[in-house]
Amino acid sequence: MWPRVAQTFLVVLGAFMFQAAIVPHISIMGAKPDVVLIVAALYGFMYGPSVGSIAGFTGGLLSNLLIGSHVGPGLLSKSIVGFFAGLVQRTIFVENIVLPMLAIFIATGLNEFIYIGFMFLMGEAIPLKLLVIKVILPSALYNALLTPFVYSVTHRFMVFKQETPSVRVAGKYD
Amino acid sequence: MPEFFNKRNYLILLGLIFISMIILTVHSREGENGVVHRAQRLVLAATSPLQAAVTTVLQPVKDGWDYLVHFGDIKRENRELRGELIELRGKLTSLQNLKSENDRLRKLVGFMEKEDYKGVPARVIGFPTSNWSSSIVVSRGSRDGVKRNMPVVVGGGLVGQVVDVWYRAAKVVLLNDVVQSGVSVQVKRTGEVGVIKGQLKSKLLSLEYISRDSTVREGDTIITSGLGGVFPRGIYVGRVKKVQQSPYSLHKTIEIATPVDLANLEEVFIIKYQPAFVFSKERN
Repeated sequence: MWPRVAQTFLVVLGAFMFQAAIVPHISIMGAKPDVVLIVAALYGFMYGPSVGSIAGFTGGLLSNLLIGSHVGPGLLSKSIVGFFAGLVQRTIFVENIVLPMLAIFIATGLNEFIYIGFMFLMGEAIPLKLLVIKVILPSALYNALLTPFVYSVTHRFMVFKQETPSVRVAGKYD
Repeated sequence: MPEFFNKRNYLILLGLIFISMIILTVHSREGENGVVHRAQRLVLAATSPLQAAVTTVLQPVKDGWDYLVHFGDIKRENRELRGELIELRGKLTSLQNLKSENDRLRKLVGFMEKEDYKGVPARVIGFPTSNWSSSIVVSRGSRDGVKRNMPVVVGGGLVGQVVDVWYRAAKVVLLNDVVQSGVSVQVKRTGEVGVIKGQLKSKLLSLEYISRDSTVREGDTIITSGLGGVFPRGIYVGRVKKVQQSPYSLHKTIEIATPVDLANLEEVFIIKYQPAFVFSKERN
């Protein structure tokens, strides 16, 4: 179990470092992709809700610690996104990249709406229509377009080594 | 879909939500030396060298691209700036004469010399990593004498405030940050005091708590008020761009344009100003 935890942590850490160092330089019209969110959702698609939500939690924690204004909303939103990505694990096959792209598009929307909900609770004025047009849709589109690239780079590191595949498959359908 | 009915998955999610809530509460209630704040400094310390390296590598590429894309604009701007330079040189000479005259008169009536703040230039090495935050990381830290709450300016205009300091780097929250920003300012012409904040709907800053009876108008200059002691008085912030009045509000809705492009900062100047008094979350 622990090698898998360490492997997941390292992949999420890599995604976070990319987010911190590279993403600010590749924003398009102010919209920035969320690589940590993409990785958390991919973990959800591949390994189910528990792994997806834990990957989201870890990535959200690192991102929030760096951004700093409030440490918490990012953990919450990314955990939930990882979890829901895991719930559609059986429907989304990452080998066919179009469905994950669509799912990431929706996941980004979910992530941003959870954050906006938090801002609303903090008493901020929320110009929802404007935010959807200027922030949420561009980011969701950007994340969706970036998904094949992120998947092609990370999938070999995301695959867990299976010691006894036959036993694992049998156990899954017990 | 068996994952929908797996109780263990939902328990894990609930556990993670619970831990998130605890971390959120601890972070907002603890002092600057609390465990989450220390973890933040650790993450900042770990990422800033990488951010600096990537920025160093990518900046020339970005500059080259900007040069190619905006070549025509740069040429026109250069021509205009040359004209302005000649005009400003003339004004500078007359201002120098006025200053020496002012100094002479001040000495004559026994006025104290106006404090001249020292500072340290810093390179921007880290940019906002998400769509919702407006903070940057700069290449100066505690080894250069940078401390929390020091004001940060560019070309004479305020851009933000130092909120976290590490040995070689510091984090600066920009004026347009929606959550963390909030600076006490003054309308120079009328003397009214308000607070400027970032806003989600626009890149312009929002000036709040200006009375509905105020005579503030478009083009008015906004400077720091010095109230609260965090910022020195008189730093230029921007100009009033839009004034509106809702029939139901006690305050005017005012938007401020800054002279600085907060999204494209490359170098900043940290003013070594020691706040007279700072509200701190530190618990004794």
